[in-house]
This record gives sequence, structure tokens and C-alpha cells, in this order.
Amino acid sequence: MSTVALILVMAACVYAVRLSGFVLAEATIPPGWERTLGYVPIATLTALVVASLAGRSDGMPHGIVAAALAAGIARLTRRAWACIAGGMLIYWLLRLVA
Amino acid sequence: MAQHQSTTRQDADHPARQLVENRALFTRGFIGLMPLWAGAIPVGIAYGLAARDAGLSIVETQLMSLLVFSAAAQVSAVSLLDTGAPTIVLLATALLLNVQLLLLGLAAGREAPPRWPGRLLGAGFLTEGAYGVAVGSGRLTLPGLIGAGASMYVAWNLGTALGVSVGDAIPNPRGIGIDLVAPLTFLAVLVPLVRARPAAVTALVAGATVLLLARIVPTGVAVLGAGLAGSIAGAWAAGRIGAR
Repeated sequence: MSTVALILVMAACVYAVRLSGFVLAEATIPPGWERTLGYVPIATLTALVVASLAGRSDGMPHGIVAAALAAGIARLTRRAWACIAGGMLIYWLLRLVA
Repeated sequence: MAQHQSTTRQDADHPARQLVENRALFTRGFIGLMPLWAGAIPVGIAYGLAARDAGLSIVETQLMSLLVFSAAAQVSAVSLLDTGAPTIVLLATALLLNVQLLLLGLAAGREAPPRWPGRLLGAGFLTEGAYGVAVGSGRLTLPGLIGAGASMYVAWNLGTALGVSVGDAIPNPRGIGIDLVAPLTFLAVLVPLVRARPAAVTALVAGATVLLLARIVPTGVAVLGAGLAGSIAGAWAAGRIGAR
């Protein structure tokens, strides 16, 4: 599948998820299902973070250390830009000194 | 007779009044979300950098932001593309990452039941930030939600365009560790969501599962499996411990 076709299919899928909430608003969803769905993004994001960090090919722990400290920055500041910029700065500093 | 004429005029004025009111609600939503641009634009820049690093062209990178309009789905897609994950895995991951939007759509649809044109438009602009701003204004309205979502859409696409421009100015992005931008972007979205013990259990189980599964199946499949295992563990923990 070409990248443009992938983008179109992905757009349709994400839009369908967004629309399904409005469509199902009058339906009754079992509380257990609703509760489980609420944790899916947290679980998937964690899996992506861990997989991305574990799959880095430089063989050095700099990325993992920078990400751990960036998580601390995100916890303290609650700002996405501070987490991303702080994490990159820490990573570059670690590469310079170690 | 005079009363009848007055009522008829009021009826004729009603759609015009509704339009003015909707426009005001849209504008209020649009402006109300603008403080969140400070978060959306840097994440858009990060996505633009990650997408170019993964080999997407300028047009493809921007097209994804224009059509998909989902930070988590887009960053995960470019990150998984880089690992050579199959299309079905990319799509399934994008769906899982946006399940939250299904729940927000449910809440929005219950609070302000829209007709079909409203549903179709509202769904296009539904994001966590837009929902938060729309609810925070006191009463959730569809024009307010769409205004806030449109504001986020502008910021997201602006950030993407900036990221593409910055990325193209860097001669060897991977050499300076630009591939770290994707996990940092996920972290920036993830950390504020982990507020209580069931969410922490979710993250722990998902993290451990992906490490185990990645030894025996491709990364994308491991992410999907870990997403499902973590969310089931989180719901179980919430049942045992209490609130999220």
C-alpha cells in the first residue's frame, strides 16, 4: 500500500472512531467495557514508548536516561514542549559528556 | 392580528438568531483553546521532524496532519513505519490510541445530542483538548466544541509545517538523535494521563508485556498485545482499587 493510500485509510479509521461516540451516544455500553476502553490509550502509549526506546540501535543508555528525566519534566511541568525539548537537551548533553 | 405578525417575524428571525449565537459559540471555543496552541505546536513540530526522519515526503507529512488530525496516531504510524510494521498493525494501533475519542464522543453526544450534520462535523474536530475547553466553558455546545477543535486543527497543522521546515534544514537528523523525538512525544502525552494507581498498573503491565512479546513477535504486534493486556489490567485494578 502506498503512503498516501495508508494516510487515507488511517484518516477514515480515526474519523470512524470519532464518529462512533456520537452515534452510540444513545446506546447503553456495559460499564466494564467503558472502563477498559478508558485505559487503552495509556497502555498503548506506554507500549510504544518502551518499544521505541528498547529498539534504538545506538546501543547506549542515553536515550533511556533522557526519556526517564523527560518523564519527570512532564510530571512537574505538564507541558509537552518542555518534555520534548528537555529530553532532547538532556540526550545531547549526555552524548557530549559520556 | 398584530400578535400573529409578531410571532411570524420571531419565527423568521429564529434561524438568523441561531446562526449568530452559533457563530459566537464557535468563536468562543476557537479563542478558548488558543492557550493550548503552546502545547500543540511543539508536538506538531515533533511529529513533522519524526515523519521526515521516517522517510515521508513533505506532502505526505502535511497530508497526514490535514486528514488524520491525531498526534498519537500520526506519531505512532511514522514510528511503526520506521520498524517496517505491516499496514494492519499501523491501523490497529491508530485505532487503539484513539479509543479515548470514542468515549469523549459518547459524553459529548449525551450532553449535546446533535443531528447528523452536527455529528459529522463534530466528529471531525473532536480532540481531548477541544472537549476539555468546550466543557470548561460551562455548557458543552456543538458549535463551541467545533470551534475549539478547529483551533486545535490550525495549531496542529501549523506545528507540522514548522517541523517539516526545521527537519529539512537539518542535514543528518538521525545522527543527532531525532528518532528520540517520537518516544518523547508519546511520553509528553502519556505522563499527564497517569494520575492514579490503576493507570500506573496499566502502564507497568503494558511496558512489561511489550518487552516480553517483542522477543517473539514483530514490534507492532507486540505493541498491540501490550495495549490490550495493559488496558485489561488497568480496568481490573480500577475495579479493585477504585477511581482512575
